[in-house]
Amino acid sequence: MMKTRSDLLQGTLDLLILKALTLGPLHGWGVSKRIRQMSREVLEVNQGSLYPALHRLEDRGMITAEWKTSDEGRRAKFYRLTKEGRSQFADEKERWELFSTAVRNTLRATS
Amino acid sequence: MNLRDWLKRRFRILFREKDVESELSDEIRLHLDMETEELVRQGRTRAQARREARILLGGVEQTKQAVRDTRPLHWLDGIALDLKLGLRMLRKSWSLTLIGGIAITIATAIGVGASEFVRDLVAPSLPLESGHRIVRLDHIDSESGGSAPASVYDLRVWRESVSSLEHLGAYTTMEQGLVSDRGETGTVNVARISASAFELTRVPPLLGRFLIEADERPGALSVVVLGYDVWQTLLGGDPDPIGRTVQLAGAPATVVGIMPERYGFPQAQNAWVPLQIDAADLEPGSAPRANLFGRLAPGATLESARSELGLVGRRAAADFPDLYRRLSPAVNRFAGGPAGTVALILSGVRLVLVLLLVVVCANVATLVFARTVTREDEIAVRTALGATRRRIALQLVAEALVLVGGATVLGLLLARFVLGHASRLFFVIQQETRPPFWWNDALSPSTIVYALVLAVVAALMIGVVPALKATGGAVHARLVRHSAGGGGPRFGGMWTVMIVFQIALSVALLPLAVSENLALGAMRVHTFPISADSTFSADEYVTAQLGRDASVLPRTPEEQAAFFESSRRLFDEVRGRLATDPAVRSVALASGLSAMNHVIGGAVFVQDRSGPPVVVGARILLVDRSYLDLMGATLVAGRFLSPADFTPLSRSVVVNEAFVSMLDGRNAVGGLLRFPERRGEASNVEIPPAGTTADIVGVVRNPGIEAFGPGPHPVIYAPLDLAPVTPRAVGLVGMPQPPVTQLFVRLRPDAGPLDGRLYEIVAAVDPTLRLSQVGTAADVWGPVHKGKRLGAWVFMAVAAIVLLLSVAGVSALMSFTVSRRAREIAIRSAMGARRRQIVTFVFRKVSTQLLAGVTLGSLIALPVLWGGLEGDQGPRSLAIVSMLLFGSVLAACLLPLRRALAIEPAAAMKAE
Repeated sequence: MMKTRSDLLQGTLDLLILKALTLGPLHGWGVSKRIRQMSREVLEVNQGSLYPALHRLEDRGMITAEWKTSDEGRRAKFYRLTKEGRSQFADEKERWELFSTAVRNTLRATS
Repeated sequence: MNLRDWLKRRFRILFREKDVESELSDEIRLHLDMETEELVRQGRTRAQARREARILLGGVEQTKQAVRDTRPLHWLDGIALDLKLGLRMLRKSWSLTLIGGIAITIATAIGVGASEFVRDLVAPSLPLESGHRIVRLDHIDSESGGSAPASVYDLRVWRESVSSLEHLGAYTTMEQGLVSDRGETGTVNVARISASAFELTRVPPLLGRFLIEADERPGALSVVVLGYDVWQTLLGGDPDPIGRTVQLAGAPATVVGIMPERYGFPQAQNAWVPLQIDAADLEPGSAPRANLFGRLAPGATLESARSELGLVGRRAAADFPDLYRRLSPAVNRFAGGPAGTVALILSGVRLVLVLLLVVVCANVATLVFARTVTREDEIAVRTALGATRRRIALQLVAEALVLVGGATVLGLLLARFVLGHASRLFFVIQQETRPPFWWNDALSPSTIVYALVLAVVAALMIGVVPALKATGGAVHARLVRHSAGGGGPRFGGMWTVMIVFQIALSVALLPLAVSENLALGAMRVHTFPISADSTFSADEYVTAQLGRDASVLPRTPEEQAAFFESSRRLFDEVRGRLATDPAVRSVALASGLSAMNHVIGGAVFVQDRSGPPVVVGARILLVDRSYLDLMGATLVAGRFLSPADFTPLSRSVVVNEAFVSMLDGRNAVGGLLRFPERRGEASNVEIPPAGTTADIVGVVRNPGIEAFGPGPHPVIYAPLDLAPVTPRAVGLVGMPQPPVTQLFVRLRPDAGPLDGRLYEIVAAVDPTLRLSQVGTAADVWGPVHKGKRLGAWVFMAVAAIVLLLSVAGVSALMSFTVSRRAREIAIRSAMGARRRQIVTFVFRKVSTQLLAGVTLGSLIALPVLWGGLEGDQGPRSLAIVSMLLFGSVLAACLLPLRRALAIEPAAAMKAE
């Protein structure tokens, strides 16, 4: 894994988790898998950082958790977005798009 | 997240930790299982997949800890761990725990107890609704600087013209006999009081009603409101006491109400009757004086009330210059205690006792530092593993907090216990049958908070300084020292100064404490020495206050004079009848129990009418012709008072030896005494009018009770007739007070108790006569003695703490020296040093500090010891204490010395 990719991921882990949950409730491993899928296997979440981030978002009220039975028949803790989480995701997404556009433009500039 | 969810989450984390941890473990386990399955699907073996899943996760425990660190209040876990470690360290270093714990407990108890006591005395708060807005009113005399009571005329004027105050009223207090309709008898503290007092205090009655304005009208039915304790004891807790009739001072009164428990406004009253004011009382010149009270009106402040009263006062001075020229109205908080110098002194004492805790904590910090340096290795390793200096300091503070916190809780409990006893003693010594209703023995919440804050500050002091010393310097350097086994933090200059100071303090305090306790121990309440050839047997004396109730108080000066004259005759008759009792040896009357409370500002002594005058601040006791003989007074010079001295024209007095000692060697007998103008100080006796002169005819040793109680104060014994009992005499100034005198009865040896017959004799003379505070002299002075013993024990406890800490500090220093210099000792031993030389080497620093401390302490103590103690008691005490200190220190150093002598050179070198 390139060092630069994991650096990017640290600053945007919360955003990616919120995105992963917009498509529906997931348990922790499911979030990690969905991020990998959505990024077409480019982004590999540092699994040691995932659970602290999930619990931090839960404490801030962005997501909420519930123990349910998974498709595999195992008892799992499912996270889903709250109303505040959706709003926060929208804001973070807009900020990220502005930022990434600015970076792309800078890199493409010839003068 | 809404508030409910927010609270629920934190509640779960704090109180359902097991569930939360269990869920986290399940979550992580599920993740590992899912990842393992995924990797197996990708072709790994199960074992490989499991291993790789763990690596990808980054470690199960690390992940769990990272999750825990994101939780709210996670820092509490760290503190909880530190506190557990602190408890473990306390068990491990039990000697430090014991010494430091005892010292802090006692220092906290003394500091907190004194603080609460002084606060209740100087700035008490009334346990009434908005009690801080209840005020008392009087005058300030601009010439004497003291206070002067207001009058009922002032009450009328201020009610009409001052809007900053409401519910203005007046009261006077007295003790009276109460007899219930079923024959139960007792003495009650009565307040003759305005009905507005009950609206002012806003406390509803328990039963019936309180006084109303209609009760104040002259001619209204005689009513009384009783306190809870009177209802329980004298009315048998009757569920329907309203309407019952009691005899109060011989006159019937109907019970109309019962007040709740602990209600005692204005002081410690348990019976209230209406204050009836005649129209004639409302003339400015003749209005009786009274104690006035009021409440600040809504929106008013003390300043606005003072301003408004000031205007009214100036108007009164203009209208009646003869009466009000010197007087200006004053309004203060009702329950304000002593003010001015006395309050400052009390606050100073409080500060000193609180500072004691600071001193003790500084000393305990020395011991903690000594223990901390032995953990230097542990601290260095922890630092190398990533612990910050802050983290280590926090841990050490937490350990100190456990020690200080536990000691503080014990100290609070001890303070509560001692405060109760001290308060009871204090009021008994003040001759108060009950403390004021606002007095509370319990520790107030603010005092408890204050103690806990002090504990935190103390923990910081004890934990931070040693931590900073122990974690100072580079990690590498400390680790090198750890492996090399030498160097490290030292007991530098600051610690040396502290140990020397501790020792000096021990040497300075202990002799005084020991002497004080020895002197009090020699003093017996029941039989104590007055001189080389006479003792005072306190059990042989019965004393009581003899008073007379007046069902209708005399109003005019003529009525008052007649009433008091008849009272004097009745008192004399009691004295005469008692003298004929077979058990009685002699009887005497005096103006009070002793000269203790009878202070006058200064009696000017002029010898031979031409020598320069000397001002002596003396106390005065008015005595009858039998008093000095009854008390076994020993004549030192001149003569006793004779029957001829007890006439209105006579001006003879006797003084005591303490008075003569103030005259710089002059002969008192034949000298002239001139009484000053009465200043602002309170006196329980009417001193002779200003300018009155008296001839000193004799000098006595402090007789009887005086020898025991108040100490060697200058006292003037004047004939009871010199300052006749007037309506203003003996008791509170204000409305005419019933006359009261102190009765003394000396029993024959082996005579039985007199109590029952005493009451019978008094009742037979006149039913309006009343006895109160009956007891032997031992009963009376026992509390004083106890109070002194309590004070001496506190002093001794302080001195003992200081000694304990000194010895522990020195021992800690010795242990530290031996452990730090084990290699050096081993080398010296290997090179042939003898045991004596090793002992000298180890003991050198300690002995220097010990000598410095003893010298400094002696320099401080000697001037006090020489002056304060008799004969050679001072130097003897000092010598004993110095030897005790040396002995204790030597004993404490034995263990470290043994360790030093047991060091085997080969073993020590090999260990390095």
